[in-house]
Amino acid sequence: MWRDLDAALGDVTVVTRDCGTVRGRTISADDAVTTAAQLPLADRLEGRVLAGDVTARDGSVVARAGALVTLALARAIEDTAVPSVEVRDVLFCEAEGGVCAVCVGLDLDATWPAKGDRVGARAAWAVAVGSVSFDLRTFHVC
Amino acid sequence: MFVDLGSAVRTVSGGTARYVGVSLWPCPENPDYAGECASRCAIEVMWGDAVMESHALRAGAVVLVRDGDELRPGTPIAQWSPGLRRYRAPLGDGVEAVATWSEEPAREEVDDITGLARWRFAEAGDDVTLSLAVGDTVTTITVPRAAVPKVASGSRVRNGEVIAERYAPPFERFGVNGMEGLRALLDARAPRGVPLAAVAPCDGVVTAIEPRWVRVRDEAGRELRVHRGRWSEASVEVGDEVSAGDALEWGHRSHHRLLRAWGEARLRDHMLEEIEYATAMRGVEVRASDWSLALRAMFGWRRVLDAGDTGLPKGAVIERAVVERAQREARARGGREATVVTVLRGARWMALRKRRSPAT
Repeated sequence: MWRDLDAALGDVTVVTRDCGTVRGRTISADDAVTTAAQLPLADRLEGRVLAGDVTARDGSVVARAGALVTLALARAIEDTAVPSVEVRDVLFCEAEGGVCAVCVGLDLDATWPAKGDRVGARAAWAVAVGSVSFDLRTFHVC
Repeated sequence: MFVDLGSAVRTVSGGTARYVGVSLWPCPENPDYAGECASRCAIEVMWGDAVMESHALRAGAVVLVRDGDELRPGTPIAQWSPGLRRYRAPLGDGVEAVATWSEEPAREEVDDITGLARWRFAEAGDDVTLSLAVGDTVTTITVPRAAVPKVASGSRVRNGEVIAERYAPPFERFGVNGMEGLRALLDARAPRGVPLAAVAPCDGVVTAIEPRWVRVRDEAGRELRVHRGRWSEASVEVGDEVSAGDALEWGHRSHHRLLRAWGEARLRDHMLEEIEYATAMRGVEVRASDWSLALRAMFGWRRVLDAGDTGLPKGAVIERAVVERAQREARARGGREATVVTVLRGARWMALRKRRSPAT
């Protein structure tokens, strides 16, 4: 799987810092991932960049579009009980010839990917390794 | 009283409940229920005039809130059992009738050898009917023979009372349940050994189930014919309301078929949710942006239906970036743009395509 993914994604690189798109992926607080799989909304938001303002019920703005979601901000957003949050995602990236750093989000070491980083090859490796551990974590009761 | 039926939808933000097209059966079995949806409808949660949430509900969902109720965050709005279908008595308010089965659809009996109780279903192929008599007026309800009766012949039945239940395994919402499932998703194919299910191409009502076709009438009144496998078993019944993308027979819902029924944006969200759900359930940590990159590549192909003035080969499957560049150039020349559709391609296909390409 890794070879296929690497061949398919290996040429995807970071070409610019910010493509400037206003579109983003909607992460819902009541979808199956948050409710059934019990993955907290804060965990899903951390390290992403907001594509739209997050407004609390009383009308106050909790975070502005373009803000990097730190763990503290992610928990603050979760506490406001907003139904969904829109974040930047590479699926909507408009950078030509690759992707932008803001849509990719922070690396695991909390740094921004640099221009020229082969994020596609890294994603292929991460997905392939994750798929293997996905299979190994099948629990047998017998 | 909140009795867990299996699946529930709750409000996240809280607010005022508003019914949209809600038509309810009464639920005499539990006075706390507002009723059971008779058809597809929605409940919105409002903050003042703003719609904060809209929850679409299927027929058969039990509604727990009433129109205009003030809801706190986390309040359950509706719940349903994915594997259970109920048949209720359609009588007027406060009316009671005497029930008579044409033939018991199923009866409980004790096994001679094991001594355990089991259900024996009627052997006749046709559906069975229940007659509800109020004086001289008789209402007849047709029930599939696989249903389990909840009322006996000769008993009195109230309006909305459950007369029969049929258990059917729920549609599998997410198909990724192992490495083969994940690999199949990334290769844009069905998991090995799993039959493909026909899916509803649009919202509508099932009008006929034939040996090779399922007919679905859409909301505009057009009847669409969906091909089904020779040995497949239909998972819907005539008269069922279906939404676009619902499986019409047991099996795997192909992402290619879902792409035609849903379009790119909805399928993309569904696949991301499917992956994140499966990995979260197994405790596998892969960043969402890595999955997004894989899906971006999978959705990054276009089939050229009409080349226009772009010079692209008609019928070819081409990378999105190449198509967009050709479209821009055609626009700049004042020419006609190409007509393209999104196609889904898997990692294996992309790898073979890129490896054999002389450009790489």
